[in-house]
Amino acid sequence: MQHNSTDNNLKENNTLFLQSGLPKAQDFAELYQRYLPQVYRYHLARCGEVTTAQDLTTQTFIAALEGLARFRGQGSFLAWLMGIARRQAALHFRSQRPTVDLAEAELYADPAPLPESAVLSRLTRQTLYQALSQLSPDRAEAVALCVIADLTSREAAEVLGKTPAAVKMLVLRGLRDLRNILSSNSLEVE
Amino acid sequence: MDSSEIERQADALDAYLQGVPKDNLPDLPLEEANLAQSIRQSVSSWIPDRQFSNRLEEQLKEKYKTANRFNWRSFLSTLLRDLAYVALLLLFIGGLNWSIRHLLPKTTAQPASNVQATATEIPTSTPTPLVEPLQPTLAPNAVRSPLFPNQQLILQAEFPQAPTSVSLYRQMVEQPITVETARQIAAQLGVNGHVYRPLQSESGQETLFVSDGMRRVFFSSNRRFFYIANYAQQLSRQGQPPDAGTARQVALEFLQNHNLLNLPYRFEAAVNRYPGTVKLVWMLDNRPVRYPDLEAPAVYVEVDSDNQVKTVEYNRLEIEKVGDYPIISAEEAWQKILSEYPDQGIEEYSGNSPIFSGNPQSWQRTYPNDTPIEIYGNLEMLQPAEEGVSPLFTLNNLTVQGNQQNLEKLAKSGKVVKVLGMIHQNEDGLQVLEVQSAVESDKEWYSISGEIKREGEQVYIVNDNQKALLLNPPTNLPVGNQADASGILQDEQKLILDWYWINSGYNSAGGGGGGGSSTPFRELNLSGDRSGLPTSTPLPDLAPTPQLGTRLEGESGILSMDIRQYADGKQVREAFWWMEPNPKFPDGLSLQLSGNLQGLEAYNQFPIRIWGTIEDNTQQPYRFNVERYELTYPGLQPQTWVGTEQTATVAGKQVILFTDQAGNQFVLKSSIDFDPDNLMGAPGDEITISGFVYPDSDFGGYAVIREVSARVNSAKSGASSSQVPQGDNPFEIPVIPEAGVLEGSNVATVENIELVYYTEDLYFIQSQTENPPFYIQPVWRFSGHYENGETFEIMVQALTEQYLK
Repeated sequence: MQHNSTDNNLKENNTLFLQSGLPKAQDFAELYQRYLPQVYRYHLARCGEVTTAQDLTTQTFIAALEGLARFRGQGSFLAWLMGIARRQAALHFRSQRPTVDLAEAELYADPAPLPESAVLSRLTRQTLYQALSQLSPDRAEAVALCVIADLTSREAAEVLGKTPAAVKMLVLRGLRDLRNILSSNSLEVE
Repeated sequence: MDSSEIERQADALDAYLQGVPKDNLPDLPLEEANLAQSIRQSVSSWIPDRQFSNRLEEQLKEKYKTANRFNWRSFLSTLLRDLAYVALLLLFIGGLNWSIRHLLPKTTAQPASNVQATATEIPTSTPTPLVEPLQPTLAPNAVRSPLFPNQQLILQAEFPQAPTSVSLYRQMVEQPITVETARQIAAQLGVNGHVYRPLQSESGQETLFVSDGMRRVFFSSNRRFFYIANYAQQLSRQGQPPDAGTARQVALEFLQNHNLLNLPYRFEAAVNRYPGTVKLVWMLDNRPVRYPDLEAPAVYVEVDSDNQVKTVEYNRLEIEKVGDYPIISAEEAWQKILSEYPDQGIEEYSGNSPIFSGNPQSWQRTYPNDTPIEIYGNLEMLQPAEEGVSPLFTLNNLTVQGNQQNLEKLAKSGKVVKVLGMIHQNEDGLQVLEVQSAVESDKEWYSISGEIKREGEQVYIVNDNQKALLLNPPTNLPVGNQADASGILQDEQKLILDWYWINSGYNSAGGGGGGGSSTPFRELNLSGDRSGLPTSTPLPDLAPTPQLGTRLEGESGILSMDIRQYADGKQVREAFWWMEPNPKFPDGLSLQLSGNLQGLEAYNQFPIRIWGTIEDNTQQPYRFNVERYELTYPGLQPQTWVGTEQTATVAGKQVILFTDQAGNQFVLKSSIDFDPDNLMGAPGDEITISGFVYPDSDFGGYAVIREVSARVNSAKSGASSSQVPQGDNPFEIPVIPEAGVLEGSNVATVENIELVYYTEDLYFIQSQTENPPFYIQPVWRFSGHYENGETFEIMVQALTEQYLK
């Protein structure tokens, strides 16, 4: 599977802003559309639950929009955005422990029963989430960012505050750990 | 497998993840690559629900309007200056974040029309000397750690002198909650009700509820519960919260009365919890126990404005002593943080900017008793976990009674439900909803954020896009404050909101922070027998630090000048020099220059040779005293070219070829070093590039342009983010706003050092029984604040080397 370098996105952003003069609402909307899947997948991989992933995705983009003036172009926009995503996830686990979430989440009932394909997808998601949860935090983050959210190692390095070389190593070791976990648990990713 | 082989594998895997075919990567670890591909194929189906994404987009558009008032213009001007070059500049930074900032050129918009491929004169006049002496950027008394290259650490705490050995414990594995245990603990809390399960649980572990109608207790294991004193009004928070002393007294009384204090504890600030919340952290041997990420095994008791317990989040520790072990001193732990080659066993967490502003308040909709009403909401169903008990239904937190036909189907549908009925108050003071009929509704939840405004008798939530009228609003809403409201739209055209929940004073952009750089904790080796343990190897991505006094004798590198602009108007000029990796310095070398810098400013971005000595190697960039310098290529001049880019394979490598208007072709150095397929703009776009062609440059027969700046020429907007070499100032020196502009803070002050116990939060551990023992081990904790008020902690494993793997 071919993946475009997300650095391309950076240049596309430049072009986007450069060609449009003052950015319009639709410019941010375009950024939103472009990065929504990456942010959403990152959260889903880290929290394992659709509703929470949606909440965290919402919080990420709102915080990004509110803090946009603080993005000074000193790195990749995606890395900056994923840094916010990571903080929102940390906040979620820190200040709204699942017990609280669940209590309040009762207000919003679960969606309709899932079709078979969705159930399979959920199993895969649960499998991945559980396996990721067993990795060391740094390795899990590196895999979530580089493999699932599709960041380059350089962008992930910005997010994690590490060198790109260290991130590459974390990804390698994280995938190695994941392989061991999945094989020992007789779980399949596909 | 040696470290270089692992590095090659990591590089190959990274290249594969970026789309390089397997066949071109001989070092690719196939199993990991296949797994990565499988994961990517799997997650490609993780697509956000369209309804959700559309709703969020609308929400963002509303927020954008607000943001636009304050920030867009300054944001754009900044972005236009800086963003366009980031990709190029990233090529040169060698992985060090600090240098990103230093290398950003100041950019000035220039018309593109007259730009030709011309050489630019080097100034012939005497170069201007640096107007300010070079100053170190380190704050007074600050030190740096290679672990946290972007931070300065200031130590403002004494090193504790004791102890030298401590006891070590381990956590007992949590057990799944059972009906019997849930019933027992609930009874301990005075909740004598039935036991239920949620309709659907995705967590894969047993979760149970006990409800007596008024109160509800949620269990996720035999040691954790969440107690809600009044489920029907759990979202309502108004009035002045109690002071800390009163709240602690109420909380302690509750916990003692219910026999819930099974370990010593200490009070800590309940950061980012609702005001009135008391936090008790469990203590072992007079030391607090802590989790990662600024958390701790603790009990949180929220006390409301009536001095009543509103919620309790409880996490009971069960422990077993393992033995007594020697530990390192606090000072030794500090030296590990500062070590040039940090070992594993150091973790850092930071964050906790306020998520609440002022006194957050929230309102939950209430309804009059004994009056026919029409209520919309989501129906919740709890399944009985006991024989002979009916399901429990609630609508908007109200217990539902009466005609329960269709309720299960409606609850499982997840759709908004319209209920006709009447509310009664039973003998326990509990409001129950007597249902006459319940049907699925086509209405949907709606939420709006904005300012609370009153116009006559009407109250609205207003933002730049929308103005929603609140049906039957609370009388004590803080008019003029920001708030979020959610509920059902009774009239979509007039935006009449049948609100359910309003909250004010919550800052969605707050909180967070997340971890900094750290190294994982090491496993414990409690036998103390080190035979058979692998010998530790240095981290492969760290190159040896040059020795103090190391001399450079005409090494060539790139000069980069900065002007640091402080809030008080002072400007400090700084000179940096960086060299690409070579056999002598495999990770390259970055220096901050001082000494004989006369005339240096004229050569910003030029390659220069330097002679001198490294005089400070304790922090990066290393400080270098320049005795003399000279241009690497005398007569070299910066040039600008206008042309187009295309990808091509040259000398067996994919690169970007640049073709100027005269048909000359060049290879771009950035594409050799870093990114071979990252074209500027769209293919065929006209590009202006400024930079150098070194006399000895050649790649596959092409001259190589070392770009300093580039832009996509845009006739449409005329906007540009590049600088073009002009006259006597080939490349302008970037001005770096220093105080009050840069986000966040990089000065961390350590205010407290203490020995704590550290353990994992088992809630986040899958298959606890299959994992190694969860030790509660001694850790030196260095905690404090950043300049911006955010908290941080650095934790260093305290067991002596003998007892760590």
